[in-house]
Amino acid sequence: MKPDRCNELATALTEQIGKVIVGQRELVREVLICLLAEGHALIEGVPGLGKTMLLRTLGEALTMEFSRVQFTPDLMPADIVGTKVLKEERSGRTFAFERGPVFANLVLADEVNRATPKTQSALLEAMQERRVTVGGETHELPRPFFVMATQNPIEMEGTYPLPEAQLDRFLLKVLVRFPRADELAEIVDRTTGTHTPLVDRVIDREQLTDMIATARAVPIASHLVEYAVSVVTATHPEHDAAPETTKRYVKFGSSPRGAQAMVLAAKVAALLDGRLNVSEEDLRETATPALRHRVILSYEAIADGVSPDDVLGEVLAHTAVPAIPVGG
Amino acid sequence: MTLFGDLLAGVARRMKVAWLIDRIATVAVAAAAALLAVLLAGRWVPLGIGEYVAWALAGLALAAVAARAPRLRVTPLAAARAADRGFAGRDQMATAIELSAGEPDGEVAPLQIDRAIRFASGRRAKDAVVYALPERRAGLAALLIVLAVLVSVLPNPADATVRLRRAEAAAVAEQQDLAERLAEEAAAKAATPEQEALAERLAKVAEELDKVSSVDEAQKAIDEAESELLDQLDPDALSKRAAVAGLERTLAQDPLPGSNQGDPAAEQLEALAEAAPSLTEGERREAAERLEALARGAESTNPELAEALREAAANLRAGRDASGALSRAAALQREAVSAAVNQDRVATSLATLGEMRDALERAQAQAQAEAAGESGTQSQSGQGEGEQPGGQPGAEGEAGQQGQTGSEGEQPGVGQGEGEGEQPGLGGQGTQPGQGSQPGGQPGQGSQPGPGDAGSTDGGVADIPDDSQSGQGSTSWGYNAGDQIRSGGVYDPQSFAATGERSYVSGILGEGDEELLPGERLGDGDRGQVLVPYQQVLPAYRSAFVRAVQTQAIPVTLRSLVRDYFAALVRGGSP
Repeated sequence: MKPDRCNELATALTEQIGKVIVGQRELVREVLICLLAEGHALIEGVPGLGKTMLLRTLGEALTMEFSRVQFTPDLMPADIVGTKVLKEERSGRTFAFERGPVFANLVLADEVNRATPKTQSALLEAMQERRVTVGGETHELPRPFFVMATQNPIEMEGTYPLPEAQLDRFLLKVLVRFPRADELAEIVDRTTGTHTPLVDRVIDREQLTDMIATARAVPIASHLVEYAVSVVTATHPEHDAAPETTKRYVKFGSSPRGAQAMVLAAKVAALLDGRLNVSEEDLRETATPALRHRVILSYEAIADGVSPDDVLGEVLAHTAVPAIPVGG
Repeated sequence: MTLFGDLLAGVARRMKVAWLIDRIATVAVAAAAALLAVLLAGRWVPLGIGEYVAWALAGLALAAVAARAPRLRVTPLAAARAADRGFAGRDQMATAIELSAGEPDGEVAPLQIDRAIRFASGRRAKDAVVYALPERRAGLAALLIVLAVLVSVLPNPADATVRLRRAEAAAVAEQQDLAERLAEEAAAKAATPEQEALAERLAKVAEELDKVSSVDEAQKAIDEAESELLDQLDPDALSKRAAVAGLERTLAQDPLPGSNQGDPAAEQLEALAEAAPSLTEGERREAAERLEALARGAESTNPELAEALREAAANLRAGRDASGALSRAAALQREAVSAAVNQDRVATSLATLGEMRDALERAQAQAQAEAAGESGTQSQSGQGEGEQPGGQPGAEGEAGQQGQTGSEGEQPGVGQGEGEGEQPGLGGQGTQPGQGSQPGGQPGQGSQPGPGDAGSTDGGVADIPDDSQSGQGSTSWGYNAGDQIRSGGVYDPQSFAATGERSYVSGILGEGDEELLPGERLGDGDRGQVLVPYQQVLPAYRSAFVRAVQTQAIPVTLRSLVRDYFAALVRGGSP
């Protein structure tokens, strides 16, 4: 698919989402980045900000299998990945694999932190491997495969925060901000009237697959790859290039997946902007959502009220693109 | 062909210039700061050419940076990145360069390159790289350079010291040349081991002068050489030399039997030894009388020769074989001639060394005067009447020695000296005893008036007689041989060294760094008001001694004492 066409489709998809979701351009953009990068998104925000609505709208705009799972403490792994059930057939009773909701192109895992770790692990394994194994049988998940998980940062009682290793499976962690006053007024206006917006399906599975391939083909210059690596390296407190904030507040820095996520997300960002190459600005844009859930802060940071975004802000401020080489 | 060829070439050129501007601003600050530091240090520490070197190094540093700029290697990728930055191209040119360097695959890469080419089309390098003067660094560098120029232009108090050092170095170099020539001449003329040793010592002086740069060090080297040569100087050299020359001249004018006029004395004695057996009785008697007359002349200066001549005369009178005694006499005469030549050369060398030291002192005094600002003042050297250098105590007039000495190998010429003026007493003490007698029985005449204030010498003025027989002239310095020198009246610097006290002699006031005793009054031309440390005038006194030895100005009986006195002072011992 030509990049221009890809850009047109992405714009059309954004427009469809915009019929339902008011504002939240950043949220929509980052979700689209995950979509075109074939990465999973962890969306965090307080209730009522439209997280679920956004993902449901996305499912409606895409001609793909869409499933939604409401995570609860009693949710079992089989409820997600499926299980073998006894079936009556002419030849007799046989066990047949009943696919769970994870067998879809777009899976909405609502309030993922409310399920038990065991259930979370079942989902996260599927996210990483893009396949599930039940009863000794492996079942490939459909491609493309996305998981859009939401979690609520408050009301933590009775929840099971995702372990760091599992957080690492998400391409981006997207924070949902509270809408501005004008946006809120628009939301109220739209949702309290009689008009129900209709969302058109603008992208089918094949198109999305092509868009994903096109996004991956967006080139990135070597010095920008070095820059992404430098940023990730600077999140490690033991590294010499780490800023003081990192050394003071970070317990563990980002995994290598962080650099991969930065670059991949930057490629999609460039494509969404109609450009055919990654720029430094793209990397700066994607660094924070790609790394904020991969940086593990120390107790001192929590005590001082320092967030991962604060640390990453310092990292980006102190890390420069490698200098232009001028030699004798 | 490289993608964006012309554009990137222009960008690369401008990057070099921008790099040059940036680096020069940085280097200029560092160089100017270092330069200013050196110049400021040079106001307290005399650096000599160090300041010029600092300017040159600062200039070289900037030149080196400027010279490096054209050789900088700016790759197309680097230029493309700079262009992206300048054009806000969001890295598309750099990406295109990298893609074009490889094998662009897929659908996106060729499109990206095309788009980058379209982006670069029509753009100019000067929009990509804009020259910007780093104002803060440039301003700081300019300020430092202005300060450095001001410091350079303002009079530097250390320059006087630098000029003084240069002048001293030049004076030392000049004297080193002189010492080299002296050593070469001595080596060329050396015919005896003693003369060779003298030549080597002079060569060593030249070598030492080559290593030093200050007058003080040079004077020390000269002093050491003088001390050694003084030890070799025979106090009776002049009388012996005169005796030798007299014998030679006598026999040259009136040869012994069997010899011709002009033949050397030793040869005539040997010739007489050979001819003796064939001489008649009358000729033997006549020859014996000649030999006895010669023996009387040599009695006081060369007793061995006199003894040999008497023995030969006695043998001739007795009709015995006189050849052995004559041969011995000939050999002794040869030795005496050789010794006289040696002494002459030692004395000449000493005189030259003294002149060298005097020249160094004059050069140092002149340099000090010039370094003091050429104010026309008379510094410590004070130019006392009589041109005594370096704080010479106020001697009025020279000792007025005029004399002629015969050239080497000849009889000393007519000695004529007029002593007028005063000779200050050593250390301002005592009075030299006057009215002396000539040790050789030749009475000295006259006394030298001694109006010196700080202790004058009651000396005599005497014409030095032309004593062609003995070659001995009387001294113009009266001395009663019968008087004893009181040791307590002789200056002994060691006696002061123990207490830290310094000894002074009076001189004529000049301007400069005179040392005054508390309570002394400064007054231009006041004699006796300026006190000069004795050590400063010691070299001049020693030179005077060397000259005096050559010109018979010191009584024979005092020469050893005076020589030992100065030799001991040079060695630092107690006289």
